[in-house]
Amino acid sequence: MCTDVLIVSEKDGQKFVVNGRSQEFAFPLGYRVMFRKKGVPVQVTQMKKPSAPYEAEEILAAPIPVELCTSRYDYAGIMITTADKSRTTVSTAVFDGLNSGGLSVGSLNADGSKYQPKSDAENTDNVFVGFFVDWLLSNFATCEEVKEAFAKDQLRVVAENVGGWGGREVEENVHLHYAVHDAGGKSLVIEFIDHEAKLTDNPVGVLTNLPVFSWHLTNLGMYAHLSNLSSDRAVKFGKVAYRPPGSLSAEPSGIPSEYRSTGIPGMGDGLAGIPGDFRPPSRFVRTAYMKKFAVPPATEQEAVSQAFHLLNGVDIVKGASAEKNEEGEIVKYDTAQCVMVKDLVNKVLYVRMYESPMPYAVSFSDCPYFAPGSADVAEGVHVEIPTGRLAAPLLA
Amino acid sequence: MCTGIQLTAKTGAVVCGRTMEFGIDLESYVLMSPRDHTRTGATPDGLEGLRWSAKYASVGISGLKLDILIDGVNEMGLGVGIFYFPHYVGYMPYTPDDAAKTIAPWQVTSWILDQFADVEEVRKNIDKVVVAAVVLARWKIVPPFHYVVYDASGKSIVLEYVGGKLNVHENPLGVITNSPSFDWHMTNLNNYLGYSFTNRPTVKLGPIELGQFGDGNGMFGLPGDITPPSRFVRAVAYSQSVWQSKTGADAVLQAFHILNNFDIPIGSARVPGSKDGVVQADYTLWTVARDLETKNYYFRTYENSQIRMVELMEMLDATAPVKFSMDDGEVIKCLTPRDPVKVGEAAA
Repeated sequence: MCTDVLIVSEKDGQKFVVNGRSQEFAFPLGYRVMFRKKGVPVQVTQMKKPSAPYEAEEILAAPIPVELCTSRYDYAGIMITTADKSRTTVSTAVFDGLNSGGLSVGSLNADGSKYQPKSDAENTDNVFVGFFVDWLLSNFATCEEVKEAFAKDQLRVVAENVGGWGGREVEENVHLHYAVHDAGGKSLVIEFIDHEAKLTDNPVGVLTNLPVFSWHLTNLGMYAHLSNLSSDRAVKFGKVAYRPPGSLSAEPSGIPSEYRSTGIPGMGDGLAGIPGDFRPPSRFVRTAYMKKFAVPPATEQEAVSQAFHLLNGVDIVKGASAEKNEEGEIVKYDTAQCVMVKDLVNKVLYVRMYESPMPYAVSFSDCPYFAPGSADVAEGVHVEIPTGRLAAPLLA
Repeated sequence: MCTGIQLTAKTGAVVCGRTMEFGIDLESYVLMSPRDHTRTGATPDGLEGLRWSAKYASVGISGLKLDILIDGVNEMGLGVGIFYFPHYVGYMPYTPDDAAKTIAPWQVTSWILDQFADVEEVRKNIDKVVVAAVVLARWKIVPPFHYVVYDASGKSIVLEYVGGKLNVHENPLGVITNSPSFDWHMTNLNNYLGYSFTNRPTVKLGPIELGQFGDGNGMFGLPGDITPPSRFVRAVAYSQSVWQSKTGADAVLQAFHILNNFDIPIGSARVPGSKDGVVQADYTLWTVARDLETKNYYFRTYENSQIRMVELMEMLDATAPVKFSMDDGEVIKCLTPRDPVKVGEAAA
């Protein structure tokens, strides 16, 4: 489960475009930041289908290298490793990232996704779904370019792969839809429904998980009554009057004390009824309305900070969402393992792990691997995301 | 705004019912429409539309001084209802060449009731007719409708015209309300997983144990408002949880009990602004149950909660339409030893 949000604002002719997303998973994983350089072949790995019965060791032991394309952009993304971070799990492909053209791409869980049939046409690239984020980050800078590639059938996303996994096996395990944003502030959702690619402009800049995106857009209208203002309206039942949020009015006097409300006076009653749970529709509604009410950021720092704050609203505390095994023991907790914020204008990637509240940042402009003269590495260069640090020392 | 439900008795008898809410009087009356009755489709440009003759007799509620049924059942046990579908409806494109196969949105119900015996027949034939955007003169707008069809075997479909295209949706639970489109409502049910018809067990939190205040907490949080999505969820909850009726007649009474929950008192759903100084409020004009086995049509009105009924199968020989007035005040049975009196006449 995941939440993706795009913040776009403008002040004195300066545009701020920041994309945040959280990554939830119910089993322990590690994360590393992967760097890919412009003009260098992108070599990603794919795990080979093992001889039955499946053994994790065998799957992880001998990844197959695949040369995807030569990247037209520098890009940085997040790849998944084993929990001890010793090696990659599925692939060295990234599931989320940002490129030097200002394109930001994230893959989010969408059960039931069915990818496209392979095309034999000469000008069509058939890209394995597991490598789709790398492909987009390597080749495109804007949502329009991505839309055009699909419209002209130059790009198809397929379940076929070199690892020997069947299409159905892939679709049972890799169920994704995609949030794509560009530095111009455009936002696009790509879904794979019944073996067709469905591209939808995203007018609200929010994406979570199931059901289909169009359903969520309609659902937003069900909360049109939500407001960031507290109501000053008194509600009267005969002689008894209540003022929001649930506090009994001082007037008229002489009201029996047993009529007193249990409400706690305070602000925010205009948001009463906003769904507070972690289901995808609830996270979608909560994030969309919080973003709508958020004061437009006037600086880069405000925009990045706002993205983290919005994602805090869907930060799943470990324990709040649990799964039981057949014996009835709780074995898994769905947790916001990793939170990323990407500045599409200034090309900075921020990342924060669940274990540590401190974000780490990589700016493209001072990344040594992106500097001229650095050695080309087809396998990509990746670094660990630290988790051990709670806070920066105040007295350094 | 309206709510529709479906029940099946242990005998297999299928009963479906609905409420009809509106902000203005539809000038409704009950109409028995006989076999061989002919009707002519209305078209956007006033050309003569599709002409058809009724193969089957039907009975239901008519109104707006139009020769159609808004809701009804035919002699084969097909039940059909018009429901309001604002903001989402988009009728089919029309050119004058289509006139001879065109009907207006308010004519769909009678077109179906007059000609078809079951859901499959409706499904096979519905795309033969052009349902075009025709202005209803009395309202000066193209009325936004979608339609529900039930048959005696318990099958149900919903017909919606969206973006100029007909969508035929399976309706496995037999529930319908209003906007947005039917598939959205069905998906929305997934949000209520974990709801239970049974009381929830107590919960231990550290040293304390929390128990229910009263029965019914398995559905705590069920949306109680009268927006279409909330009524849809609630209609599913009640029609799915109710104990199965023994007979069709029992199911008719059960349907009225369920529909009591969707009885909107006048004033609680007001339309902003006013027309000619009158504030409009959506309220439940009438509530009906269609017994698809006996073809009896049951109804009550906002003004008179007494259930009344017309037996279609006793009227199959009729050669002309028969009207029955629905206008009636509440009849309250007085238990003091004198004749029943009508409210308002009691003083006389």
